[in-house]
Amino acid sequence: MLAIYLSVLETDEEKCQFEELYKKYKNKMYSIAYNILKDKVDTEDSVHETFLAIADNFKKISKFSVDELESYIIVVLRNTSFDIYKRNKKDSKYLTEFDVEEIPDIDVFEYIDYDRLIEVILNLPQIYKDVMFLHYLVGFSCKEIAKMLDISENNVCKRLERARKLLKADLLKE
Amino acid sequence: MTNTNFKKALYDALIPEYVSVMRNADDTEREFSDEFEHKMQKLIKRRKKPYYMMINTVGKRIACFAVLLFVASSVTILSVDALRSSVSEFFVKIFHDHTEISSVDLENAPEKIEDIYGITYGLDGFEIIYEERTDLRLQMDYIKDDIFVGFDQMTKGTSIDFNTENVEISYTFINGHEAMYYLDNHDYNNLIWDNGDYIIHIAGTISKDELIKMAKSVQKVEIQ
Repeated sequence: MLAIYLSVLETDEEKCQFEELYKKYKNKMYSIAYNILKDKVDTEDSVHETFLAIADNFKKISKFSVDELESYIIVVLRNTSFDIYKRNKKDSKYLTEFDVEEIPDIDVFEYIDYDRLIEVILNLPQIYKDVMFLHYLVGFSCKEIAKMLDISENNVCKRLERARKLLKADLLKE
Repeated sequence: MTNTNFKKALYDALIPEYVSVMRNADDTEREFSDEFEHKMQKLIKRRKKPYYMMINTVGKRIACFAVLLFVASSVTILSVDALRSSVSEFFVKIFHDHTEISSVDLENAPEKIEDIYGITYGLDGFEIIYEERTDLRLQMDYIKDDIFVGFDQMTKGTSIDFNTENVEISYTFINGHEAMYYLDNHDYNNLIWDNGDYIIHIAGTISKDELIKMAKSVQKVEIQ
């Protein structure tokens, strides 16, 4: 993990970090969101909503490594863009529902072959990767994730449960 | 059980993918709309005033809310006419992550900032680091060493959002007007009250007692 923290790369004053972050990423964020939404107004809405989420969680985010920060931005931006897309199109292939059966604890993954574990994680649908990143890697609570992705807290918990279940099911295939 | 293997695998699987999206994204300078730039500049300014985070997501919030009239905290207080008259000056809507405040009595309230109010106690040696004045609002931020104090004077015609997520709200009195007090999640003490003509909000990294003294010192400092 890169131990390069945003506070090192940016100005020492937190109050300026947000503006620096805005200047650094706004064009790339626009490009990424536009690839999903294909509409300038929707794209600007998505970028703005993502910056609102960043501002809302800035205290925690300012301690992220650069990789974690960029990953966080991508996760929130893409989810926000898909959300706007869904609202506009009233149709989405992004979310796939799964039946919930036995829900394993993440401890069961401790003794799985490492390369195999990475392979099944990569095979997860994106929505499950995103909540796992936000919850297990950068430490947001279900409540915080719910707010930043504009979904219910229960939905976040369900996605985490389903992600664990899918991982286990995939690992048991062979 | 540290889940080290699982978290390391998550990191190695997910981070490169996310990071590659960001690093491969087109970084060409874009021409954003004026509306977007305006919204972002407002957000950046608010970040420069971290004690006062106004969250612009009202339309999307799924919030259960209760509408509370300010009530006096004891029978003793209710028996005092001057205090009782101040009780219903605000509506406070407490959402799960923020609080909206709006005034009830708009009848004689100025629609624009006419009289200028200011803190007249405890600002010796402070430097003004931010100042903004519109028809509807006056903002002044002060700093001395690491001590920050912010002052807002707002017209009563619009509702105002305060980030009060996970904070405990209590009430006190400032010059006979009931005031809402809370310590926000940036460790700034906050006081908000309706002084009859305007909503006043002061906040800072000073103690609650010192903030109350400053609040009580707020008075007209300039007449247009």
